[in-house]
Amino acid sequence: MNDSNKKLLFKALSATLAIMFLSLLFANLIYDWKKSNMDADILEIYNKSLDLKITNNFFDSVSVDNNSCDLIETQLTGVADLLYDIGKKVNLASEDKSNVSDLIALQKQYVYNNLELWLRLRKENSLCPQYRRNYIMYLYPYNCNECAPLETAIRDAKDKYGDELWIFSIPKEINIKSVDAIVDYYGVNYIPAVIINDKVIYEQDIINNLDMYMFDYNGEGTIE
Amino acid sequence: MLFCLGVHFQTNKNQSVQEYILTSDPMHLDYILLFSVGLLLFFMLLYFFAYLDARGRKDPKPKKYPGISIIVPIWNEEDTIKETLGCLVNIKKKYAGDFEVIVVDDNSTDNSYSLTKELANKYKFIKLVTKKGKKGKAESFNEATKIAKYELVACVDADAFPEEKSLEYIVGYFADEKVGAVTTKMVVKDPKKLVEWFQHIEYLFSNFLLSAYGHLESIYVTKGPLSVYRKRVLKKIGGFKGIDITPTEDMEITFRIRKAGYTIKNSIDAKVSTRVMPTWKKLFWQRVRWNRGSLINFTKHRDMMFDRQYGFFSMVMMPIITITISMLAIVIYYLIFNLINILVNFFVKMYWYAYLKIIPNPFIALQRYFEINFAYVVSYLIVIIAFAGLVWIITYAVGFYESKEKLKIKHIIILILTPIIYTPAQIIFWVSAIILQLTKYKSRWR
Repeated sequence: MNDSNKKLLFKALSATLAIMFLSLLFANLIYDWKKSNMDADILEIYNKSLDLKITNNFFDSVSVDNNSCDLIETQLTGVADLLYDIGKKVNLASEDKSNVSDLIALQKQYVYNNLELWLRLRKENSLCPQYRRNYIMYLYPYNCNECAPLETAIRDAKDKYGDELWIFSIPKEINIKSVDAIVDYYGVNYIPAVIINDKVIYEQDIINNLDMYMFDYNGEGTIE
Repeated sequence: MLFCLGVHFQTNKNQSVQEYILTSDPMHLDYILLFSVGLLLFFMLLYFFAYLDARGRKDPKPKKYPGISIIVPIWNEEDTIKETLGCLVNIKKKYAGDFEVIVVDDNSTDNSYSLTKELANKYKFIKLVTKKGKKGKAESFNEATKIAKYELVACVDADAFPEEKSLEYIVGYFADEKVGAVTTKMVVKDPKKLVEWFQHIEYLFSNFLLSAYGHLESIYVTKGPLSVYRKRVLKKIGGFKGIDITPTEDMEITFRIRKAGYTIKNSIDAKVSTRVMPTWKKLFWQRVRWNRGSLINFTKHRDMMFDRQYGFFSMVMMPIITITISMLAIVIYYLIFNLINILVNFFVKMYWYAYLKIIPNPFIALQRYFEINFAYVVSYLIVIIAFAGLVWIITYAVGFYESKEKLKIKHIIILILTPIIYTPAQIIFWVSAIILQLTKYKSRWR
């Protein structure tokens, strides 16, 4: 091997290492930028959730009737709006899986607010018949192939009932105690499962007889 | 080993289920791919620097013009033989030395023989001989070499069209007694179909590689459309090896020329245009043959690897080419791994749809693939691939410059389509070649 070829070899090696190092530097900058954006998002969501909770508690404590249906409805829509914002951020963050710990934190915030909304919906359903809405709590495992048809059925139901039906998607393995408590309370013994208006239903029934579990079902596929 | 490593990256028993789901993304699987991209980047930069170093080099002007015997092996070439011989007639007019053309007909069943005979009657320097021995290009060339009158013998494919001054550019190299063969740049003659355009772009890129390999004293193919050999060297090494030894005789011979102590050069200005495979099917079989040839030749001459007497070729290029071929295993692993994943998921989903008697909504299934938010899809790998892509584009640009090709919109479109269509096709060619080689499927020359 002559000297000029040796020089070329070292030149190419140095340039390769330089480019790879530079790439890592660039990627790190992008990663840090993304992480700081996500951190800010999580903090903002956390603060908003806290703010909303305090506001709701404040109105609960100062209202003459804290079981007033109008108050419950206002609080419910406030939580729903916040949940919608978090959902959008979770979707975006899910596409970029490099920031796993932040994504889990964001997902947990999403689940907490889902549960908060669900609790308020149950309260409203029991106290305010004029505002009564159907709900589906969908409990799913990660990496679930058998869930695809269930999700299709739930989506179809959502298309059919529109705002009359609210959906709560909860990943069972998110490691949140309140989720485990709900699963135990309702005696759910197999995931995926759905809780429709406080009744636990499994696969086949969800697909074929979902309508039967809706409030005010008239037997013709519509709600009166 | 590499296969096991890939799996290991994905499964870590200490992870909780949700972490496993969230971390089973390409970032963690792609350390091997990252390594491969780094290696490819290194190879590309090495070739690029070699090219820059060689820039300004000129073909040596011949002090005398040695006699040349041009050998054209033919078998059913009625579509192109007249034009090829026409080009050789033009070369003869420009070439100052002695010159003869020997056309070896391998018992064609079309009009190739009569068309050639017509021209042989018209021009005295064209000889037509009918092949006697075994079928094949290598055997035709060897038979013709025996009757060749001159010190230099050139191989010209029957569908190749050398430029008029090609030989003038080439023969100067043979003033150096150590030069055993000289090869040339190639371009595609009148590409029309998409498959021909892909090959055209590929050939332009290969012209850049040829310049780089030439400078690194590492040319390992003397191209069939036009290469010139010293007859004495061919005799010494026993000529070309037939299809029973190697399906790519023009590559195999370069190893033996080196072993005999000679070098192989590339001409800067000589150029030959050639017809290429007009259909994907024909291209498939041609590339399978070439790729199997590479596997056979590198295995057959593995004794040259890391042998200092063969210089840069054995110390660097042979390992590089071997690694590049081995890296295909990684690509194949990726393809198979992802394909199995996709298929398993698909069939399990279909089972559940069937079990629950529900019709899947294809729109929703497809929608997910288009929901990617690109602002968030940036990783180390993508940045490095971007750099490698930049180097790749530069090398293609150099290929254009080297081939004296004018850049057209069509070139750019084909260039964009290449990594989407042609590169995956090349992987398929390689996979097929490896499978056929392992199963000892018989090679076919035609």
